[in-house]
Amino acid sequence: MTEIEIVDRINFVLAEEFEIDPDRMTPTALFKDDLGLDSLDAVDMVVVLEQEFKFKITKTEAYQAIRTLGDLHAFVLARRAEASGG
Amino acid sequence: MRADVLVVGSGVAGMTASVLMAAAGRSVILVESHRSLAPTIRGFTRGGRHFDTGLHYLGGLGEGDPLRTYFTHLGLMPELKPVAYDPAGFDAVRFGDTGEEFFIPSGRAALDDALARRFPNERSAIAEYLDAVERVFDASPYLNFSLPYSLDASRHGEIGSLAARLSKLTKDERLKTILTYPCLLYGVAPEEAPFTIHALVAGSYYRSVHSLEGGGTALVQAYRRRLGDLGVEFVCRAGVRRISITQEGFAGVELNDGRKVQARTCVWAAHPAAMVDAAPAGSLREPYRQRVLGLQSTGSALMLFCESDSPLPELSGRNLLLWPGGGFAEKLSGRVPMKENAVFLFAGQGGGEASRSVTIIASMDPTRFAPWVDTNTGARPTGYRQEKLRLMDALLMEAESRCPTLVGRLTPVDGATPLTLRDWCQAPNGAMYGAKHSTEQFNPQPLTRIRGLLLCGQSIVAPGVLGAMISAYLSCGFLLGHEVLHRQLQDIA
Repeated sequence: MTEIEIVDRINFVLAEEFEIDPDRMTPTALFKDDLGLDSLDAVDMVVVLEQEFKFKITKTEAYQAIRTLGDLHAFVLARRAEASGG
Repeated sequence: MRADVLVVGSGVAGMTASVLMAAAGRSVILVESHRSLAPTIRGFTRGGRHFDTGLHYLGGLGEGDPLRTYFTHLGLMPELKPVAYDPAGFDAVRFGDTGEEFFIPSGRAALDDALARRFPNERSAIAEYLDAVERVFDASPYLNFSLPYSLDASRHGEIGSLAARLSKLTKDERLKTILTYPCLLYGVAPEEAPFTIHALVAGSYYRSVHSLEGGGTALVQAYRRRLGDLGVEFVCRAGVRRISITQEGFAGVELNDGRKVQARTCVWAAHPAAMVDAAPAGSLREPYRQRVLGLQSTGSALMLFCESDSPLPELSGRNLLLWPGGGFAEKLSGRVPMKENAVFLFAGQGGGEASRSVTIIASMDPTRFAPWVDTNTGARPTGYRQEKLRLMDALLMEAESRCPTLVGRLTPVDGATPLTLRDWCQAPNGAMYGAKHSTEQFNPQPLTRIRGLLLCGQSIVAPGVLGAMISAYLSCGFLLGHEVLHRQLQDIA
């Protein structure tokens, strides 16, 4: 998958699972204020992405401050690069 | 029925939450699906003899220790008579290969000393391990009441596994076994057990070890009296069928028999998966539902309850762990042959008649009873009963062959299989300690998407009596003020 495909996939999965309006899913969108996802959703988001992209996010990482959708994209891309030895 | 607060599930967490909410002036209804309160820790009586099923020994009940502070705060202490285990050895670990028996003393200094004498080349590893356990213990405002309250500090900060931590400290396999065996008391293999959970459980036993006169029943009676004094209404044989919500959040439940309970606040102390099952469609997000329904359980066990002809010296003031060698993960899976399983023996303490109740426990895979998974306690077919008796017999023979002084002294009275535990304790998969706390699994937090509905219990914060109790304080803290409860505990400690 290219980076753009991965970002699209992340957005698609989150939109599906958390019923977010795709139009609001810009990289600068804040999870809490713009997308309506709060700390209660953070862990579920992690679990959904783990399943989708087949990697493991440790508990400390999971509770790290990811504030915007763009932060999350960057986090997943970095993790995928690590996993593929890149 | 109507109250300020509905508490679902009357285990240690549910009874604790009920006392806390009622003591703060709320009207409370406590519902329990079983026919009596707290079936797991209550134990049972056969031929006038009490047997414990859930409560075998308690860590941290000594003067100034956290469990004592909680029992005192809850108003239970006047009714409880702690019976101290032998501080020179509350557990004896007997190794199958050499027959060596190592006594685990309680108290940091005594434990340090005993370990250092047995493993003189491992002094620094031992000190480092005990320091690490103490640090975890002292960093939690729920165990070290002198700390100022902090919600963040109540989270388990560290994520490394017990096995990873011990591998860095020592190569001595015997020492590792001795430091690892408390994992049998929370049912998670060391490779996936967070060190923090291990430190909480093991650390409480390293402080002080007691049982209670009268066993788990005495604890349930003390709670029952307190709940009565506080005007808590308890309703047994009352499983929750459906949760109802409104725009404002939680509104009440419908019970299995059709009765309704109205309340704006609910502390759910039954298994979290049961909450998800009962919640109305759309009230919880699908990923959350899937995560909670898919929670991995801690292990299950086969329990054999016996009467001994007289109090057994092997079990006077201590428990006995018969360790055959091998790894903990395979034992906890319950899939190894009896010969390779860990066998744990407990007896009533304090001497006299109570000491003649002996319980033998070995991990057991619940799928071994898969053919009878759709049957219920009291209505199981002959095939199940034969298999249960066969396994009970095998467990007794195994215990006798590893500890020959027991031969001919124990008469089996009854047994419990993973299915028994499942049905008596309302525990999915017969899990002894609720959902697993592991380095991999994300357990649900107290707060839920349904406003006014909070979770608590072993699956939420930590396992065991102390873990369930802390979980209730954490959840009720969201309702009554974390600092308020913390100050009350500080005043006692």
